[in-house]
Amino acid sequence: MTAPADPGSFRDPLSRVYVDGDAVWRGLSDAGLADFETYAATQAYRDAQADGRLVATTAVPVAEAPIEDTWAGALRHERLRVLTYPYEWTFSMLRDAALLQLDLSRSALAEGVLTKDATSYNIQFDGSRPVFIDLGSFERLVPGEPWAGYRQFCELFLNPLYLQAIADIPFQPWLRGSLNGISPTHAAHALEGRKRFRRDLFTHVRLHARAESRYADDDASAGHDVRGELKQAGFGPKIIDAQMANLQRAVERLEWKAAASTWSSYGARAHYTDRDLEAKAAFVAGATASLDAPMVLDLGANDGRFSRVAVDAGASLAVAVDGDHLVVDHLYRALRAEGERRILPLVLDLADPSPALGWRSLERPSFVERVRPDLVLCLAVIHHLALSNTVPFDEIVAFLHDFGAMLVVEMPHRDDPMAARLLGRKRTGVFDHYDRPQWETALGHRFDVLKQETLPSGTRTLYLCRPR
Amino acid sequence: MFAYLDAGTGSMLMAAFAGGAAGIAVLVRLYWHRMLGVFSKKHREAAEDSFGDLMGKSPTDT
Repeated sequence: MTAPADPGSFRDPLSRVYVDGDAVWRGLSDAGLADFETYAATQAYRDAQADGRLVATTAVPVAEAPIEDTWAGALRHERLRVLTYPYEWTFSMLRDAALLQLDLSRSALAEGVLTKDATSYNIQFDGSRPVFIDLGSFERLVPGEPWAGYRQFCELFLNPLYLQAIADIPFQPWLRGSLNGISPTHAAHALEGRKRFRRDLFTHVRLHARAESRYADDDASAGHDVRGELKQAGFGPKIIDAQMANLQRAVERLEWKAAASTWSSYGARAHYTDRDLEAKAAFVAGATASLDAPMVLDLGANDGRFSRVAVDAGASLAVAVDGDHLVVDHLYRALRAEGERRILPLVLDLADPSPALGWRSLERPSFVERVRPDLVLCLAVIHHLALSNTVPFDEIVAFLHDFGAMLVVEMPHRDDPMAARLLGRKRTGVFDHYDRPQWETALGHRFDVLKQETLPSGTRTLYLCRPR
Repeated sequence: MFAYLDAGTGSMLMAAFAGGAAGIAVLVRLYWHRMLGVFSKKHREAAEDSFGDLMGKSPTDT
């Protein structure tokens, strides 16, 4: 039986990906198989397999893979539990992904293998660790050829990072609006007048943009055979390596000097009593432990406190989602520093989660389709959705139900200090429906409440629920 | 030509520019050759033929 082909893997004609149960399969054409065999024979490949920078891969006979028998070769990859995309990553995540791309590209190049592309969609996060997943990306080096991935690297790694680091423009909305990334021309416009004397910015953005517009006619008319001319002028792998080293230095020196954002000190949680936090942690730990090594989705995770509680209570993975880029970036860096790999931090606005995107709107599935947890945590979120985003209770419950998982949800009552503050901004009477009975009615439409507990301060109630 | 991504002409030249001193030397040679008219069609075909004879058919050039 042939497994369904992944709708996001059709671009490279030399290979295609199929997803089936716990494994991901890749069909390789003759040329693709020869490319893989060359790469698999390198020390660079063995090292990257051994330390997990490359997704765990084994070559299998085509007949044993659930793929069409027209393929010349087959690979079996380990399947990651959650797929995420660059428009859900933080600055430091995209930066680490860029460095992984360059690291793998350079080590392969030293042994005569070139990465034919350089897209951030070839990288996934296994918890907090970046992993390169596209084995079809490696091909035998053709002497004298330039690196075709350079432009893509700029569009999908470097320019988004520049935008965030230099202009403090968040890259996620732009990447979500353009799966091809940010072109050199657009990046040059966005960064105009900034850091004029920075050499890497001049080269990769300004000059790149000018070269593209200067030679746009050549591309259209095929006036010069630049590829052939470069080859004859002595272009070779040493120059590609110098180019990649140059990009590596540019990425390494990038730093996002962000000021504190609205929530960045939320980790202190001044408005909670210690007893409330302890009771909440115990409730979350109990719910997690009642399931078998669940995957947990922590909506509104903030500094990841309860994601940590969940993994300590036995969760195999916690996806920690929050809309505050800076807080999530702090969390990611903390996890990397600690070597904690069971938590995957993501930037996402719960009121506007990632939609399905790309070719036929199938290429990049929506967040809810991609992330299928066993347990959803929704703590200190309801009042924001109901009051700040004015989403009705029924709609909030429907959204939580979309994940098809067990749920721990926290409802701040009207007299909770945070809820009262949000209610205080509203005209009297307009949000009278924001109360516990109405919340419980809405919750009861789609979930069975197994357990509930009001926190010691008496202004918030936790519910453990099973979807109906 | 070979790759599934089209590297634009501008990006290809940038690849040489971003490739340090050796890359810039390639660009200088490239423009020098252009000035000398080394890249006439006839000349290029002859060069490609001899390159093909020397290297054999390139692996992905099918």
